[in-house]
Amino acid sequence: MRDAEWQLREPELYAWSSNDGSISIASRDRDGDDQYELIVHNAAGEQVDELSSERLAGDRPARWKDALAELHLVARRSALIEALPTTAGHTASAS
Amino acid sequence: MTDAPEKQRLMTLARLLTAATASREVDWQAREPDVYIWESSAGSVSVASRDRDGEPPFELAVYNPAQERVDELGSALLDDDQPAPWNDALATLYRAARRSALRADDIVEALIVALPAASEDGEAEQERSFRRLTRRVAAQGEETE
Repeated sequence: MRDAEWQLREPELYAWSSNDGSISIASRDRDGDDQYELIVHNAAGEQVDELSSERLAGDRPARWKDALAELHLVARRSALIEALPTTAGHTASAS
Repeated sequence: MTDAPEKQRLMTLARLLTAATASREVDWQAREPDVYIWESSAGSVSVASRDRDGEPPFELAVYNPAQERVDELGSALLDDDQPAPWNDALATLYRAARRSALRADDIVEALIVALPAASEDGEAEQERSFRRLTRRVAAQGEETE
């Protein structure tokens, strides 16, 4: 089983790419705080959609707040593991 | 600037277009960066970020079939420095039009399809991460031996 592997693009911003486009998840202020932004880019790198965990009108928490926080956590973990040096014949995702 | 009837009509147009865009009943086209167009037989509508940076202020323009500009509505602050009542409607329409023109739903769907299938044995993400980490560390150990 191959996991989706994320890459650290800049501090607190992690990205996963495919042929169709890419997704990034970032701490909004790049400070690891619990406000996150998910951004979708097309294959040309244009931003086509976004989802933020900022509070909604009426100071209500967004329904997707927890999902973004969880994604940030797993993306960060994946990117940090991927950032470890590799040796010939070994990869982090090899079964 | 007053909340004149023509502005109310344009605000209504913006809201209806947003709803129709969200339900994918209308499609927008990108004519130039940060300018999106919807065309019908009765005319066309454009919505744009005025400074072409994806940020407010936004501008809505209405054209007749001959491409003559017949009306417009822009994000504004009123005399008391309060945001105009149509500002939110323009911002929401801009985002919906951009999503439509850039085919955001199709890309999101393609990315969902491109994702590796979830583990079928219920292995937790954290456990898998630790296994990957262990492999990396083990590989490092082998190299240094």
